[in-house]
Amino acid sequence: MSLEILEWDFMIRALVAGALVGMAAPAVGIFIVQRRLSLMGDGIGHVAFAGVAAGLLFDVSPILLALVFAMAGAITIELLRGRSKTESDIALALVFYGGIAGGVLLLGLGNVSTINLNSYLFGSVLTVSTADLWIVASVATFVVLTSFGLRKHLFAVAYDEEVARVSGLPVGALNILVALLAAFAIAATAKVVGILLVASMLVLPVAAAQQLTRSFRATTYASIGFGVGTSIVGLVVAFYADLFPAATIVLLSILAFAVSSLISRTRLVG
Amino acid sequence: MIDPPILEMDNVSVFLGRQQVLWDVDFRLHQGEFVVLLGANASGKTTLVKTLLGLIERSSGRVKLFGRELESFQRWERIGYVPQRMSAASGVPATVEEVVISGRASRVGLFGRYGASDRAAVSRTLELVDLVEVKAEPVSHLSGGQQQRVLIARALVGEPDLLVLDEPVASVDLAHQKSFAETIKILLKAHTSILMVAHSLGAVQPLVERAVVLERGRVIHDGAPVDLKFDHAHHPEMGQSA
Repeated sequence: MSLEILEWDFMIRALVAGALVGMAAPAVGIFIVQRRLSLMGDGIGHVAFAGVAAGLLFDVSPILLALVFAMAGAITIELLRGRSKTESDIALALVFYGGIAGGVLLLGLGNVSTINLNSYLFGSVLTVSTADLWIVASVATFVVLTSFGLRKHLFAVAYDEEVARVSGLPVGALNILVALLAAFAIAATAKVVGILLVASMLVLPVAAAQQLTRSFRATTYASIGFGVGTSIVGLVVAFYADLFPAATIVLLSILAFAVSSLISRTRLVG
Repeated sequence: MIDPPILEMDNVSVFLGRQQVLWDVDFRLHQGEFVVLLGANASGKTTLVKTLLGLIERSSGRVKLFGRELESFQRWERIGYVPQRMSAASGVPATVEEVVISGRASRVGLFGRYGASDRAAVSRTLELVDLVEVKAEPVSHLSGGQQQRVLIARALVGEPDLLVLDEPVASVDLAHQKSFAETIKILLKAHTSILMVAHSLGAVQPLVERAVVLERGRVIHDGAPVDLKFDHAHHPEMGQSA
């Protein structure tokens, strides 16, 4: 029974895609959580929805257009964030709602199938094609290599923007880079967990890991472990229990967070 | 002959929104000097420091760092900055060593790694601020005073020529204020220039040769250190210190 899952090509592709996004999303998500901007992923996801709608309307790869829209949204959010707090708060809300409203408007212009749309809204990891897998693999590799390669600079900026600026680091460019990496991760993740849950892959593995770790380095590796682990276990559980894969992966991540928190509290009491 | 100042502010005015916060401020700091910037809350101390470092835009006047106009200044590794923070903890756990070494991130090239000289600088700095024993601890587990010293260590690890500290001992007890004063003494011996924002002189008083006092965005005293007592309307009353 245990190998039955590997007899299906679509499941092998799903497991590989799940592992790849489970690795890439927390690799960049850790810098977003560090800056206490956990909802940024949701904002980019909303804009990516407009990209998916445009892709379905014009019959162009929805993942590709989601990536283009997500990148534009990420840069807009980062530029607006540089403004005063109240202004950027309202401006961010405009980007969020603008993304959803733009997507709905585009969908209304064409005869888009609900099934197709649902697969991007709620994820459709079991329909990942070989071509999709190549895109996901390329994007995930780029995100992981860049996040690790620039980790020292990204940590310094995420830890304290003002001090990083005074030390001569190009803070604006590095912040935009993190937003772009998040956009890449979101576009890659959309097919796996869907745009509505996409930000969870950036945040939940980090949230679970940091309950158990003491250093940034350990949190990075543990987050990736949680990301890959929950993706694979979620897919396996969904396969055998006939559950919706995206929801299973996200709920499993929340369960991992709850268990980690419990272990952390037990340690403190002990 | 006196060396040219390493910090210069000429006739600087700053607005935050529509409110003017600094009014025609002139200020100089020379190599090896230890200057304390004093004043009541909202007197403009932090704004002055942030304007000097280019973190806040000025509406008029001129700022020079190490003889160069602020806008064309590139040698930021010569400056160490300790901002005013209540805590050094962040969204994700980080150890003392990780935070301190991040003070040298701008010296590492893109996709580069920290080298032996970076690690040696961290060891020296941790020893200087007495944090060696907790170097592997998460910053959030430390006391307020220790967290403050982590931020000081991060500024010092780049071995700057100028150290700018914004209320570095605000949450530090008397024992650690004395140890902070010892650190300042060592830095002054090494000819590090120091600009420190403070509410009062505290344990560093014997080391201070010059104090600049701000009131409502204007420099009202620049010279020998003074004892400040703020009345309820935040007007300082000055008296020559002992």
